[in-house]
Amino acid sequence: MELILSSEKRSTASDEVTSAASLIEAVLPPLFFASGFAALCYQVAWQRALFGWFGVDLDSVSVIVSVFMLGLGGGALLGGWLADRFAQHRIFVFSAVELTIGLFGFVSLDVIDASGLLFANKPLPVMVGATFLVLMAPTFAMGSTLPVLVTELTMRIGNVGDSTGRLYYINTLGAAVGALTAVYALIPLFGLDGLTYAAAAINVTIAVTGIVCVRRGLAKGGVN
Amino acid sequence: MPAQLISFLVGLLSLSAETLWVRTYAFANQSTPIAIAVVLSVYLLGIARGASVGGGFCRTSANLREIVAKCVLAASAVIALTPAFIIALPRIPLLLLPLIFAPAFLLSICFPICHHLGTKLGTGHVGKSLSRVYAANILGSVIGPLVTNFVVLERVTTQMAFIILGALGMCIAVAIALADRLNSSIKQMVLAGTAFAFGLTFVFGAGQASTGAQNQLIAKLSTRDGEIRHVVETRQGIVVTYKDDVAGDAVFGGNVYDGRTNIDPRINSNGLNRVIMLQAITPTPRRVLMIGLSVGSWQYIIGGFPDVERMDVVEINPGYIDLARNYGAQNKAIHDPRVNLIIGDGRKFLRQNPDAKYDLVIMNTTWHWRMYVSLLMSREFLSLIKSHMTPEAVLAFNTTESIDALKTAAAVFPHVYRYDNFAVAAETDWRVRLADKAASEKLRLIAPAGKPLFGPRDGDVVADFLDSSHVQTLDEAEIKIGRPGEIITDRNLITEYRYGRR
Repeated sequence: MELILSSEKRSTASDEVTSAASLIEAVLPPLFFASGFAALCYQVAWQRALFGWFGVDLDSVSVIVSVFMLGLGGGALLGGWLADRFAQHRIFVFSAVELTIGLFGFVSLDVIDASGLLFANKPLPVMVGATFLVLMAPTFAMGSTLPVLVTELTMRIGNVGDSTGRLYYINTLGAAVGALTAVYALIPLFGLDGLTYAAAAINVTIAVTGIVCVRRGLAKGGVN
Repeated sequence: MPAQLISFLVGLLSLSAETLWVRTYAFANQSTPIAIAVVLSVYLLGIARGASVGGGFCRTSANLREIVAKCVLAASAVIALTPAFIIALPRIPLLLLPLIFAPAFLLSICFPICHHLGTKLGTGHVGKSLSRVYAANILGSVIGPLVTNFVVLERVTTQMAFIILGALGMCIAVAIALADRLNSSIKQMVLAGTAFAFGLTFVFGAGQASTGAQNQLIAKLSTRDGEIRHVVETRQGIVVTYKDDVAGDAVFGGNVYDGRTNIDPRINSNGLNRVIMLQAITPTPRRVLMIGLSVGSWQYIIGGFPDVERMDVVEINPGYIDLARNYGAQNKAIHDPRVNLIIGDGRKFLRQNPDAKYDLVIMNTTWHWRMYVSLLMSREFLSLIKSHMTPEAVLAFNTTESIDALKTAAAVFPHVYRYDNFAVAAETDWRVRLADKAASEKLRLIAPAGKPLFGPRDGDVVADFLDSSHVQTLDEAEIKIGRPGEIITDRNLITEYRYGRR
């Protein structure tokens, strides 16, 4: 009798783990879709706000876009480190990163304007430094999410390429939808303010959803 | 070849192609914000689908490096032959979308494969190793557009840039095939495919260069039919002039009407009266700021205002200066010793010269629905201009029929009225000076390059230019348009997105 009970308990625990794993695998894609959506909204809004201060000549545009991309690259390396360092808490890390982006998002246009007031009439190298400083935190955060989540999914399904393909697909799809929604709906209706607030609200929602998953024990990660 | 290096090269190719496509598709669609968003979205959709397919290959295929070599080769062939496809296809913008999608899709197949190949499982450093592959891709994505914009497009046309990028991609495909000890039949297939694609590229590219047909792509995508006189491509944009011996050549910047080379007020095919009347209403225009040169016809006229001592002319696209050199009067105007020509952004110029003051400011603004034009019509920018104006100064700019531009000017200046499609703004009511008896005499003093603009028999022309029928108040303009104007700001961008062209 005891043996049967013990076996049933094991079976129930195993079912719970499987169900938790499949649930988190089901939750990750929509969260990462939303993350890509928000990221593109920010890209449109921040670059546009920076162009207003630093110019739309190709030199300025290139500086701003390059700094943005380099921030993503730095964030990618940071994300890899975070994924290894916090192997048991990757979904929590992802949620914290999204929260960081969201909180910055709410005040981002004011921060860019403040930076523009200070540095817009300065030489190009100072402008580059200022842009980097303003965008460092959010772009590092954005760049870090893919490595964190790909590592997490890889630990669950055991295939790096498959995990990368799935998550990059869903994230980039979100970005494509974000670009169209921004231009066709959000900016015409609410301007850049509405665009960034909508993106920030999305980030905060992602963070809360991720944290709820963690709290319910659904998102405990595998180890490398 | 290391996965990180492949990832870098794929990023470089992909974002370089995107850069060329933004330029090409934006030109084809007159640089509307929607056009830019469509390119970006289609490119992202291509990347998304490619990543999905690439991830599938990682589940099912053992020959991943072969797939990478084939995909890079196929993408490069599409890129190289893009100008040929565009020239051959009917002029329908939607037909361009598969050409945008294809290279993004093919190159993105490589993205998960590179991560798969470059990441070691079971080491405790999965995150670190995969993030290096990702960072390498991003680094390539930064360097690609920089090289494309600052090196390639500085030297060749957009059409040739596609061909060069495609040829570079084919070289990368060969390098991957040779470096990765692929199965010899696959290697032969890649090499043969590359040789074929390279041959086609060479024949097409050489044909373009030798026949002087490097502007076929631009001619095909142009919205205006007619004989092209000049095409000037710079990294900042594309300017085309169309032959017109009667009304003066038509100038199209970024595929939209931007003026004419006419400098004869009797022909007045380019609304010269809007500039000429400024001589009557500006008390003493000694220092003039002009934002947007276009081909220089307006600048030629303003150079003839008798009080002008200095003109700061800010033009973002150096292509216009190259173009002006082909037209006698405009060429003289840009070489006028009173002219200080600045290649750059108008806002940046004013911010970097906080003490500069002007008696007359003229903006040759482009259509209000084009990308970035809000930056020249917003309350913030008009306030910045106001801070650079002397108390009696006048600001005039082309609203291109935007009621919001007029409304915004009225929110910054106490006296704003429309003269044709110009918003003319000042601290005092300039209409009084337009109606003054001395106005016609002031107009007759205009003498560009020392030649009087008006002859003794041009009394009717002068009278027409000063006629009050050209002038409208904001209220009258709102009634005509059928809605109240709204204030344009740097954050609402209404002329581009809310009321812009779809």
